[in-house]
Order: sequence, then structure tokens, then C-alpha cells
Amino acid sequence: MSFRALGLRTWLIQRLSAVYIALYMAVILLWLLSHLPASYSQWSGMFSHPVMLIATAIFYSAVFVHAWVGIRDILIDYINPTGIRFGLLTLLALFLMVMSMWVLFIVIGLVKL
Amino acid sequence: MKKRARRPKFLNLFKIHLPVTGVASILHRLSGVILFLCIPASLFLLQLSLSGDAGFQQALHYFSLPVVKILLIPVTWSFSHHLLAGVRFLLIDQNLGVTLASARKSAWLVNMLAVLVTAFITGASLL
Repeated sequence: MSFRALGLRTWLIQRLSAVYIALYMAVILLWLLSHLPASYSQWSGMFSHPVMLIATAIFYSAVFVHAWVGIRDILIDYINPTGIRFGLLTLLALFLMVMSMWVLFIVIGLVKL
Repeated sequence: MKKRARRPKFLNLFKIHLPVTGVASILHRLSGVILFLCIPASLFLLQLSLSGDAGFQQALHYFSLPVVKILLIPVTWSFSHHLLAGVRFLLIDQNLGVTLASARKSAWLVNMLAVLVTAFITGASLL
């Protein structure tokens, strides 16, 4: 029996990441609708703003955490053999870590200190 | 302990009648998987668009291709349904709409709204 309330913590993380994702998407979509970038310099200028870079890094972190919880639930529900399920969960974790590094490279490439 | 007699399995998906709330729920799961599969492509396009003038133009070019525009329809639906069904779940968590009647209505609303939003966005993008 878990006294650390891991299920509750996971449930909360899922909700919090969802709220952040929704807010980020809403702000970005509204911003883009009013300031549609017509050129590379406009687009990279908008993206290189420190607030945008940080918000985007957090956005992708939220997506990956949210995806981990969601896909993990699917694997638990449908993959019964423990070995296969464990293997797929490991692959999922590896995939999300690779994606995280990719985001890191993209963001760092734009940082101007 | 003796093994129990095997339970009857009834997994003919074409014969199972899922209530509307079940439809909203399973589509929430399906749309989530679709969005998950879009992650690498989204990062690729983001990186491409930020790599320079040529990359930016190339990324815009991809979005103008008919096959991409067609693939974006289920992706748009996935985001709409996943978001709307997710909000419905968040409200139910806060005890809003937990009666069967209201749950059915909100599920119906979410299912329809997701399709309408997708149609609207697809139509607007084609203009």
C-alpha cells in the first residue's frame, strides 16, 4: 500500500501540466493571429525573446510529463505481459528524454545573453 | 488455489454499444495518442523554421502541401477533442456535471464541438 499518495500526485501533475499547455497554446495562438510573422527575422525575433524561450521550454516539459502519464496509463491498461510493458515504458522514457534534449538544443541555439 | 473458469470475452468492437460518455472518453485517449505521435514532427518543423531564411521558407512550403493540409485535419481534431474532453474531465473533477443526464449532455457537446471547431479551423485555413 502506498502511503506517499503517488496516484494523487500523478493525477495532480497531469492536471497542472494540462492547464499550462492550454494557457500557452491559447496565448501563442492569439498572439500569432494578431502578429503573423511574415519573415524569418520576425519569427525568430519573436521566438528569441527570453520570456518566449522560457515559456516554450516549460511548455514542452509540460507536454512530455503529460504525455508520460497518459501513454503510461494506456500501456498499463492494454499491455498485460509485464516484461513487454516494462520494455515499452522504458522505450517511452528514453523517447521523451531524447525529445527533451532536442528541445534544449533548439532553445539554447536561440539564447542571446 | 484452483484457476477460475475463463471469463467470457466479448470484444467485437462493432457490437459493443458505447454510451456517448464512453465515446468522448475513448476519443480523448485516441486523440492523445495522435498528438503524442506529432511530437517529433512538431519539433522538426520548429527547428527548421528557426534555422534561417531558407529553413523558414521550407517550413512554410511544407504547410502549403496538400498532403500536409489533409494530415493536419485529424491533428486539429485531436487537439480540439483532447482539449475539450479534458476540460470536461476537469469540470467533473470539481463536481460540475456529475449526474448522468448532465454528463451525457456535456459528452455530446464536447464530441460535436470538437468536430465543429475542426471544420471551422480547416475552413478558415483554406481561405
